Amino acid sequence: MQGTSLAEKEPSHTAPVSLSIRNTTLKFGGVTALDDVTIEVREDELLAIIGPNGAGKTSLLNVTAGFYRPQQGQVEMSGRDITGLRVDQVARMGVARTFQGTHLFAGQTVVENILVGRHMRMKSNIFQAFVHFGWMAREEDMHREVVEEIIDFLEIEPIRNRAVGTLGYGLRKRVDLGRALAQEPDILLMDEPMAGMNSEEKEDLARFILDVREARNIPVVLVEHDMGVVMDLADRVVVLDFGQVIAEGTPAEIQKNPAVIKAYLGA
Amino acid sequence: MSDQHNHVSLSDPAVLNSQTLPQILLARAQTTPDGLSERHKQLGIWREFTWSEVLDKVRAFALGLEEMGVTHGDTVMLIGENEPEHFWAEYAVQSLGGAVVSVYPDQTGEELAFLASDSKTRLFVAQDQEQVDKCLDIIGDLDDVMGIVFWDGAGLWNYEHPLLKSFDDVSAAGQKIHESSPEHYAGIVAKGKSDDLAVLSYTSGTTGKPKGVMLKHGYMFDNSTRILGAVDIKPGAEYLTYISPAWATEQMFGLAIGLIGPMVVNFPEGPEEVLENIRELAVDAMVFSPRQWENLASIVQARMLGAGPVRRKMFDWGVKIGKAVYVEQLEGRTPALSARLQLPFAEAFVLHHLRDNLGLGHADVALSGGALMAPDVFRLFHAMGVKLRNVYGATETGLLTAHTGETYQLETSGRWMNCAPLYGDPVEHRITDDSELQVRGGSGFAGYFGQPEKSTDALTEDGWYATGDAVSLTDDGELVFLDRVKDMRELKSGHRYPPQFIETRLRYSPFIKDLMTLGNETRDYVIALINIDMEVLSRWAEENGIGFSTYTDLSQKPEIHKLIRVEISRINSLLPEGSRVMRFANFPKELDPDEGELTRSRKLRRAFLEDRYGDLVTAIYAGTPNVDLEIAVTYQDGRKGILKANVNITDVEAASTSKKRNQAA
Repeated sequence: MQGTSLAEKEPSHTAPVSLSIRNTTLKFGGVTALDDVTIEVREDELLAIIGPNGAGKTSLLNVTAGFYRPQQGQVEMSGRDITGLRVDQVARMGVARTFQGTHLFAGQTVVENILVGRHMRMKSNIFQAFVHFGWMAREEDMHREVVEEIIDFLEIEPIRNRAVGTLGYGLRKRVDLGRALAQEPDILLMDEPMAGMNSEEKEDLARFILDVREARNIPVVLVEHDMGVVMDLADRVVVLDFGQVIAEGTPAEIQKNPAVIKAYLGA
Repeated sequence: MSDQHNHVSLSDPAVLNSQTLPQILLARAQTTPDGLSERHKQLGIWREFTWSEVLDKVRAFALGLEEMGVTHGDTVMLIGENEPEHFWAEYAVQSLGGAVVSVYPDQTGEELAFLASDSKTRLFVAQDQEQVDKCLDIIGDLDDVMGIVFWDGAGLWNYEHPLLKSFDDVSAAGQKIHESSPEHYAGIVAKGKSDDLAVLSYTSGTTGKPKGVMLKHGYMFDNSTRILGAVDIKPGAEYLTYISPAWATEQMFGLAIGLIGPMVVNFPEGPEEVLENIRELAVDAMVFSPRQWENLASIVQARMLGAGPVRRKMFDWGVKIGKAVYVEQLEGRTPALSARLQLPFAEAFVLHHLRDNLGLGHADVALSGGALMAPDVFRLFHAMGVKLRNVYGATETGLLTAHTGETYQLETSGRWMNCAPLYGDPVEHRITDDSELQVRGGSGFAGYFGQPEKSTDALTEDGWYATGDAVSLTDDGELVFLDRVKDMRELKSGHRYPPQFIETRLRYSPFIKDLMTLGNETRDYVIALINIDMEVLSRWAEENGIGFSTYTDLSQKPEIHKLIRVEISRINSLLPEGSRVMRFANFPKELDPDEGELTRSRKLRRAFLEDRYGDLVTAIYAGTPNVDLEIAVTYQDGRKGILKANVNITDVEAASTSKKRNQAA
């Protein structure tokens, strides 16, 4: 095996910044969900955000994706300010996310659900959609092809025509990931992808998350509770507690960090 | 018999003027460049390849391989599912005068290492990351490996290795060579001779290490024409390739008859989508192993179990009428008038839709290659109007018999096929006193690769190939396969029973996935160890409100035992008294090839199982109602553990009746 180099690609720490969240504060009435949070995600890294319940992890994703508007601070995507943009505008800027639980159309097939992810890339409007010939049909073919490539990538060919509601949880999560990928995003945000899965499903999804980064060359931000998964997958970990960044570093560093241990064990 | 061989292929110049498979491909691409040759479902769509497109692919890849160093006499290993690249790579290697070894995609690295070194593999053509990983693991121990070529790059994005190349890159290099010297490829292909090695087909290794049977191009031609003389495969027939080219049968069908017939070879999307793909295609010809036909039958039955009472009644009625007409006709009897009158209705309401749903609506040539199939399965397909036929043979001798014509017996493997004089001597056979079938003639047995002594051992002193199969012939000259000679078992009483017969019949039960019968000259009776079908039985348990946790738990439930017992006693009623299964137990775990319990082609490793479950066997014969077992297991991730289970044992025949029988005897 001389000359073999099959090691995982190491993040360079010098790649350009993809997503940058600066001095962001988010309050709900008297509750401060995010307190002056600053995080940068580089173009080649898999960043995990961890923290105890209520630490502000999901709020952070929601601020990034445009669900919430922060009172202070700035969110930049590839150097462009996206603070306060609507959800659909943020999506057009190349940000895709998957949800805690799944937000899919249970009665629709896998193909149709993933096709939904293509919506923002469709050029025709609602009136043109009633005619199905000429370039309209060609556009649909084009989108179908992208969807089929994603189906191939996620290895879900056998279920492509099944209604999502009839699928197991693990497969639904994979379809949700497919829908996000269909946007052809520049960054992928995943909100607790492993929640509620058994260990086999976790291993499957973990492999696909790594594949996303390798094959698509996009950064992934993972909000996750499952420490095993975080330690195995992430290049870098950010720890939130009570809305503040309390630690940041490689998984190994984080495991030894006294502030993190204290936040988790409450000692 | 040779008067049967007036098939079109023997008057087809593309075949007559060729000595190797690539020569036929070249001829087809010249005479019918736009004719359809292959179809592959990719990204959800069936994509078509004409003869000239296939030739382009094969030629480019062949020239690319030649540049990498592959030449006449080299062996190339192909690992992957049935995809066009698998076939193209085979024709490409054969174009250069090399031979291929196809292996099953789920073979372990260890098995691969043995096959690669035994076959002197110089280059690997592997499907994807999984197979490439295995190749990378073993090449350190091999001499002179020229490269590893993969055709599906998923997961290989960051791999860097000097020997690793993609199929497309190799083909692109080959295409350049073709553009600068356009006559070169045809020149090398023309050098091919029918005596060149085409394939090394490894025996499955149920007894000892696998041996590589040398198949020459002449063998491929001989066997293809034997088939074409026996069953009606029309030129241009649609064929579904599903059985692995690692099995000699697919080498003859998909790879050889695909060119010689020719047939349009259809590649399914993947092994899990096969059933759906068959339905979309409704192919004309397909070859499955008996196990796969049995699976298909179980699927029909399982679906019917899940259907409502009205539909189930309709199904039962339709199949009954189908049986009364089609099976009667098949067996040479005249069906009852009432059944014949009902048939059009059964066809219109049930049978037609059944065939349509299974994709067997046009399957004029539905073949089962292998040893033995449960006659019940056979009858079911015939009742549905699908003319299923057995084909029998051995890798060493080629295909020997097949069900031909309109009437034949279900229990047989059909009548003798013969070799066209062009490709060898007539095939002759004889049956020894031990019921062993011995064969000679045809293109002949070329020997095992690198094992001249074993090749000689396989032949009798007077030059017949000893098949090791126990057979008999019916009055009509049809061959009945009983069992392997060495597998016919003798009980203490001297009674000989055919374990395979019992097992195939029992496997037909939707509740039983696999099983092993036991009983030898130290034992008084036959017993069975059952691998229950978890998928079917877990649904059954759910419907009947039986709670369970794992396979182990479910397999030992008294309700499940009761169910299995009914199945066995139904089969027992078909058997002579001395051959009946008296007691049985369910394996507390699923049998697994990764633990050496099954071979890669899913055959039982009997000696190993008998040893591994020795305590269980002892307990069954001791007459105890249950026993505690400890089995060492390896989990999927490589961890080792011990499975502890209390295994129940059930009497099939009620104690009182067996006592009565004893007294009567």
